[in-house]
Amino acid sequence: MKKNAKTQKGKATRMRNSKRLAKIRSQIPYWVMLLIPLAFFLLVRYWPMYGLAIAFQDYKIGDPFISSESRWAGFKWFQTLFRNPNFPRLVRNTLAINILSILISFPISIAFALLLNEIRFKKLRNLTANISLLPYFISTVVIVAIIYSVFSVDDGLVNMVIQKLGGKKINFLAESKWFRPLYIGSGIWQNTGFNAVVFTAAISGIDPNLYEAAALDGSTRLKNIFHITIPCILPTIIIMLLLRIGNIMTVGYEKIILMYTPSTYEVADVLSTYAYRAGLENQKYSLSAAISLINSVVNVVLLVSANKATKKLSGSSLW
Amino acid sequence: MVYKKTLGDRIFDAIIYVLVAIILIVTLYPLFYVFSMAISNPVAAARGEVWLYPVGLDFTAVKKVLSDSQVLTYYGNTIWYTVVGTFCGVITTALCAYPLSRKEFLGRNFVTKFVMVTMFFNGGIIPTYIVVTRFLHLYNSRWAIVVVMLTTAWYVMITKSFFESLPDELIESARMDGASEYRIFGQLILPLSKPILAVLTLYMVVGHWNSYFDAMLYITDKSKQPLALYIRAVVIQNRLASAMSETVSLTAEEILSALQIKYAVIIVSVLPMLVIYPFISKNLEKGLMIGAVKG
Repeated sequence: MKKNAKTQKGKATRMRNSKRLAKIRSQIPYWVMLLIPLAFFLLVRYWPMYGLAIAFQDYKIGDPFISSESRWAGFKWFQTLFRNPNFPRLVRNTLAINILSILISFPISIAFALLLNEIRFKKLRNLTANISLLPYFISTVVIVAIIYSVFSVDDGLVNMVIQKLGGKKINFLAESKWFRPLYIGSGIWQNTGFNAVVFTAAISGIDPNLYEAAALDGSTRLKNIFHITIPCILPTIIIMLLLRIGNIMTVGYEKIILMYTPSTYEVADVLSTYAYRAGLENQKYSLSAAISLINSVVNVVLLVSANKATKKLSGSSLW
Repeated sequence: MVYKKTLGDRIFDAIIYVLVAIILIVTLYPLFYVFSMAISNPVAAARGEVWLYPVGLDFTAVKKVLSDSQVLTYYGNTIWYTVVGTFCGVITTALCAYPLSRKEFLGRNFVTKFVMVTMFFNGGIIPTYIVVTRFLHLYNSRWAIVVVMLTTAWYVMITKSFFESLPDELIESARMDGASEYRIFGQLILPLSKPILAVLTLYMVVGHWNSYFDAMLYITDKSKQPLALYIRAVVIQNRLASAMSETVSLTAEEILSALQIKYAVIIVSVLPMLVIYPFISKNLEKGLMIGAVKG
């Protein structure tokens, strides 16, 4: 009797063990597939995060990020940064360029989506949508190159026109008051079509019965835009706006680096571009890492708050 | 929807069409102008007589750009980065997204979070630069560009939600038939996932074709640089002579067309995009939606 029970118990454990083994074995393919992706995230994304430790050191190129020989410097570089007379300018520009871009380009992309929706010929509507997307596929370098050519002080189109009209030449690329209009304007030219895609999709999801009912009530198309279309896509508008705000710290420095000149630093230099110059042009690696760290932390705070706000307003979160 | 056309409606339509016309002109004019400048007569171009259509066709500038062996090298490099980078990127993204889309995968939550973190937090320019150049020893290696731009958490997430939308029963029955997980992925999931793979390819091709920043950081060897850095040197930094290869020396006549060379360089770089654009634009909006609205 007893012996019998024991063997049965043994059988059960063996069964359980083999089941567990099979379960573990079933997991192996997943980890094999993840080998390369995880190596990538670990080496190229996480290792640099660990490297932010150099923001608290007097780091020399070639040293490991953290070792027994690391010369720790506490918050020295953060203090250096805060005491830098240009620091307020960096913060001001970072915020100003991004907030201005949002204030101007965001409503324009909504307006463009509304406009597209009002084009009655389907062919013309699709053609307009497709052409407006085209600039999105042109590289930042080419866009800045076009700006440099067309607005050049010597032989650019704009200055030739100004001269023909009897005006005085303007050095658009060296005068600080022209930097932001050119930066934001070219951004609108490049991205409006792309940014409008989301809104176009939201508009196409609106129940057509709403418009028919409104038409019976004698409403005009202009009124419909404000009383039906905009209220219906409001959730999408809010989500996109919050997403954009959450990204304030990260957007656009690749283009700024191409566009600015020392004479326009006054209005163009932002935290990321300063981090780039400090690190790669002046070899102040620790200072540059300190700026990146601040940038990243502010960004996380903004994104998390944006997500909370979205959750509260729309019941769905971004992630 | 049937509207009765009232006077107000007509005025409204008229305003819409005027606005559409203005938008189309504003969008296309800069490209058209660049194109006209590149192929006009050099004297006319320098005098500012070109403002819309080409004046006195002259392809010298375009020919000069295309005959410069260095330009062809830059061009070849951009193609290499685009093809190899996109290929490796799409595969890596799919390999990462598939396990994360399977409920049977026990590490699912942890790995998903591990990937998501990189969406919000990154090491910044310098630490990444140090890792790539000093620790991974990829300075002046073509693979630096491929590795740095391999994939993003965002691409993984949109691919993952596409995989999740495929019916579970399919995978179950394949498993019943004794197919291994690798076979299910390679021969069942991937063929069913052409839409998302196309979207990934589109994003990555455009991203690689247009990128300059990583190449500027990691590739100083001119024989490996992409076309974007050549455009930057010629047009933005105005270093025509030094960017052109030594064999091309500028005569007086050629200096006259230096202005046009800038435009020709721009045209040469955007032309492939403009040529393939009509083909991709058909399905573009549908594809962009997958990326724009998650899940």
